[in-house]
Order: sequence, then structure tokens, then C-alpha cells
Amino acid sequence: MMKKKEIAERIMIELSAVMEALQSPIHYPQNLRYVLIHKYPLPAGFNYVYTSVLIFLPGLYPLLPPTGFAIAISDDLTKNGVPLRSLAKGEWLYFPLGYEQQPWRATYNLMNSDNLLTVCNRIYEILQRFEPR
Amino acid sequence: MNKDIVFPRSTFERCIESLNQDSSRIFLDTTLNVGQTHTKFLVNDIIISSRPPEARNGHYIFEMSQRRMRASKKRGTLYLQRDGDSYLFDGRFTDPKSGKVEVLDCIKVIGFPMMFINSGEIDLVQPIQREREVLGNAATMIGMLSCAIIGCGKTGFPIFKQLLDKVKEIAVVDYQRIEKENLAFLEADESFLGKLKVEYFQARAENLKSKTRVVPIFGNATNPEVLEQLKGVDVIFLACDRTLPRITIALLGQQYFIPVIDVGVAVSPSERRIVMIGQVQVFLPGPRHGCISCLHGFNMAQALRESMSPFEMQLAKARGLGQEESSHAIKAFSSMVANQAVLEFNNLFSRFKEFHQFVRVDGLSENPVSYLPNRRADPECIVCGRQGILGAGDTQSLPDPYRGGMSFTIPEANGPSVRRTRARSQTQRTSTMRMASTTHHSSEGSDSFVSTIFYAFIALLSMASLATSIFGYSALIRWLLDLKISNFSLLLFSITASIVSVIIWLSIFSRRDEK
Repeated sequence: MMKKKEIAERIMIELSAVMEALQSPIHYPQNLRYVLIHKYPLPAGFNYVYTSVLIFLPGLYPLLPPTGFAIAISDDLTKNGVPLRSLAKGEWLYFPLGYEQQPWRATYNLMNSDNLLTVCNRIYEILQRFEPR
Repeated sequence: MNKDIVFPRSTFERCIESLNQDSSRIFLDTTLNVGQTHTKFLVNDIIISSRPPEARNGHYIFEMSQRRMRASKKRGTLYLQRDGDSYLFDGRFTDPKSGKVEVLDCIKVIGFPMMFINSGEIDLVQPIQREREVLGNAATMIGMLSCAIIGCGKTGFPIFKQLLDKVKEIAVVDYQRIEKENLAFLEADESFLGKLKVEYFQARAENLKSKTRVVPIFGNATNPEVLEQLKGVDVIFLACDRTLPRITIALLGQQYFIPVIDVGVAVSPSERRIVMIGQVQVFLPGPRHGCISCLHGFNMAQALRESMSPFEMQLAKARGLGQEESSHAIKAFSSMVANQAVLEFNNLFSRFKEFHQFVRVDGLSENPVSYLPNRRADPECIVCGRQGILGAGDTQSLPDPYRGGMSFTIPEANGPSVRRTRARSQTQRTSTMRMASTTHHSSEGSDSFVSTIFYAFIALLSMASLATSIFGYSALIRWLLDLKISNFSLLLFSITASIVSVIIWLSIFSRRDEK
């Protein structure tokens, strides 16, 4: 694992890249166990344009990738016309992040490494493919 | 208390080369690690210079030479002289706390093969005569080792049995008590039911009047207090079921130059064919060998499941996810894989065969043991690369897979906002695509082609209606002013004007979108 100071610096760089790309405010706790993106763009098929996304980070991030994410839902949020309320727990609808198809590769050179921005893209793809039943 | 200096093999070889050249002064930049039972210097770098370097915070400098020197207050000395096949050495350092000059007990070279060079008499368990005849000096080295076994279960117990009376000390780590189903695997009688597994291991060694000292450590291997007690051991065997302790201990090994031998067994019953697979992975600290991260030496899905916070687990369960897989075992097979791990451990010291990082054991195959090709270390690895924790010792905090605890409060989130309309969805798609293009994985949905055709059709329709209205107005102006302009010229003018208007309109909208 990278040294503690370097990890903190790296995560800060990743967070600013996400904020810049999504043009959204971001909230995170001191222990960096999650990142809350307040205005995440939802792909076509959802009846809303934005929602909040909560990305769960493991204690060993970036050695281990984010474990999953959840989107904030409301009673009238639908995907392809199907309401999502029944799938959610409270205000959140959870999705796991799998790394079988696209393995996670974390290196200290951020340009060649997976990071929170690549995670945001994985999330977009997952939401795009998501078909509620 | 053991006072050792630990080299990765590649660094040690560079030191020997530099000593033979005898050109300039050789300094070793080490991290100083002090525990209850050890003082350990981990060699991070060699500095060849005419002037001694300044020690960074938490670091200690040694000067290395083929002549005996006096240790100064600021730095230690390491005399090393080759004597045939062996080495003579004398190392001295000033204890930073007491200010007294102390003598180093041992130089430990971590790599393949492992090498221990002692300064004098050592306390060791005498090897078994028949094994000494085969293993030679390696048997003596093994006799002075302090090992740790993480997990006192189906693979931990056979490893324990093999190491008993061969190594000087075994630290056993487990957080569980003995249940009925453990009795057969641990060869224990019912009087041990409900007792701590680590205590049973200690009692077993005492009953056998073993020469090996057994240190029971009750707790989870991810616990900092447990990790603290493992910093001073020479080799760690990983024999636990969970993945997160495996990763944590493998990281500890990189941080403190401790070889880690990871033993895993997977047995799953199936209607068609039972699967019985075992794996032994040897993680040697050092830039040549790679680590658990760059060699992908762990089960990612299981590691993620174990890393989930209770809040995340609740959300996952609501969707029917995050269920633990039940673990099965066959005693004979677990012992077979554990014995293979001990053979790999012997090989680290005796070099009776080539070094293999990955050994696969297939319990159903005619040739159950196969060696997988060694993988290359990633020079950009976040664990063992340049900016990693390799040899960082006490200058860094211990690996913590539950950074800052597992429970936290999630602040109020904004729910969904801005209801989608066709025009809005077009704008949104453009902005998300721009984000995707800055990263590795671009996202292009299968519906994008249909929507492109749809918007192109709308644009053509608008252009045609615009051209028609321009044509109408132009004809009206021609009639009012009685101008002599042909219909063809008016048509050409209308089409050109409508195209220009659409281009201006599009450029204004795309700029607004960028903002």
C-alpha cells in the first residue's frame, strides 16, 4: 500500500477530478469510507436527469476498489417506466461493483491507474444496463 | 531481545559488489523498528558517498566496511568479510533510547534463498538428524526461526504439527473457540470444547514437551495489537479463511521484510464433479518478487464482501446480495496442501528446487502438484513499487483494512432532480460523454444510433420548414417591390439562408452546453 500521506493526497486529486468532471458538489467523511456525489447524471431511461450517488470505499482503497454504490431514489423515480422504490432500502438503491470483466488496476501513476473517475464511468455503464424487474 | 539487520536479497548483492570494488564509503539507509522482543533495522537503500548522509526521521544510518570500525553516536557500523562460503560480521549501533552501544545478533537476507548470518552463539532448536543430512545449513537456519501461523484451523493445524520441534518459536493467531466440528480437524478431545484454539495449540506443544516455544495470540489478524506482535517474526504462514486478514498480513510482510506463505484450500461439492483445489503462494518482500497486489494473489470478490460496512451490507441484503459462501473441507486434502506449504518453506532456506511463487494442488488430478510460472512484479505497484511501503517499517502506520472504523453516518442526500424531457436528455448525454472521453472506459449505449437518426430527422424537418418560410417571405417582398428575380434564385437564397441559420443556432447551443 502506498504511504499514508501519499494515499490521502491521491484521493484528494481523484475527488477534485470527479468534481470537475461532474460539476457537482461532493461530500466525504474524514475516514474516506464513502464519497457522496450530490448531482450525478443519470443515463437515458431514467425519468430524472440527476440524483445523488454514494460510492463505498474499502479501508484499503486504492489497493481494493470501491465495493459498491447506491443511488438516492424518490417515490416517482423510474427506469424504463418501472418504479424503483420496491428495490430500495430507505432512500438508497444499492448496486455492487464487479471487477471480473474489467479488472481493477491501481498504480501510483494516476494516468495509468483506475481511480474514482473511472469508477464514475463504471457506475454510468451499470445504470445504463440496469433493467429493473 | 533480537537485534537484527534485514536486507532484501537484491540490496545485499549490491552491497557485496560495492564492498569488493572498495572505491568509496558505503552507507546503509535503514528504518529503525523497535518492538518488545526485537530491534530490527530494515535496509531501504545503499548510498555510496564520501560523506555520510543525514538520517531522515525514523531512519538510521550504518556504515558498511570490510574493516572493523567504531560505532559513533550518529550511526552504526557493519563489518562484513567473506570467509570461504560463509561470512564474518560484526555490527554495532547506538541505541537511540539508552545511548549505549549495542551489538547486532544477525544479518537476515530475505529472498531466494534466505540467508542468516550470525555474529556469535545462537539459541536454536537442534534439527532432526535425517533432515539435517538433506537440508544441510538450512536446517540450522530453520532451527533459529520465529514463525507465525495465522488461523488455527484445517490448514493451520497441519502446518503447526510440521513446524513443532523444528523452529525456535511459533506465534499462533486466531480469534475463535473450539466447536464440535473442529475437534476432528484439530485432533482434540472433547475436554477442549469451548476453549480458545490458540490455547489448545499451546497446550498440545506442552503435552508433547516440545522444544519449540508457542506464543498464543488471541485476536483477529487485522487488529493492530495483533499485528504489533507479528512485526518481529521471520516467516508468516497464512492459513485463515478470510481474505482481508490475508491481504493485511501480506502488506505487513512487505512493510517489515517478512516472507509470507499463503495457503488456501477450496473444496466445493457438486452434483457433477467435486472441486478440490489448493494453492500455496509465496510472497517474498523485495522489488524483484512482486506482492499480493501486483501478482493478484487474492480473491477480489471475497475481499470486497468483507470490506463492506454494516450500512452497505444492509443495502446489499435488501437486493439479495452480499451472502457469505459456506466453506467445505476434507481433512486429508487440507493436510496435503499444508504439507506442500511447509515444503516450499524448507525450499526457501535449502534451495533444493527452483523458486515458485505459485503452487497449485489439485486433489483430483493424477499429478496433483503443479507449479505456475512466476509472475513479474509491477514497477508501478502501489505496494511494492517506488512509492510503496516496502521496508517502511515503523515509519508508516500498520495496515488497517477498516480505516477509521466501519460505522459512519450518511448525510442527507439530494434525491432525483430535474425531470427528463427529450431536449434535456439530449443535453445530458452530451455532457456525460465528455466525462467518459477523459477516462479509460468510454460508454456508448446501443440506443445512441436510434437517437442520432431521430435528432437528424428533426433537424432536417426544421431546416425544410425554415427554408419554406424564407421562400414565402421573399416571394411576398418580390411582389410588393415588383422585383425581377427568378423563382430558382429565390429558392437558392432560401435554402442557403436556412442552412446558415441552423449552423449559427447550433454553434450558439453547443457553446452554452460547454459552459
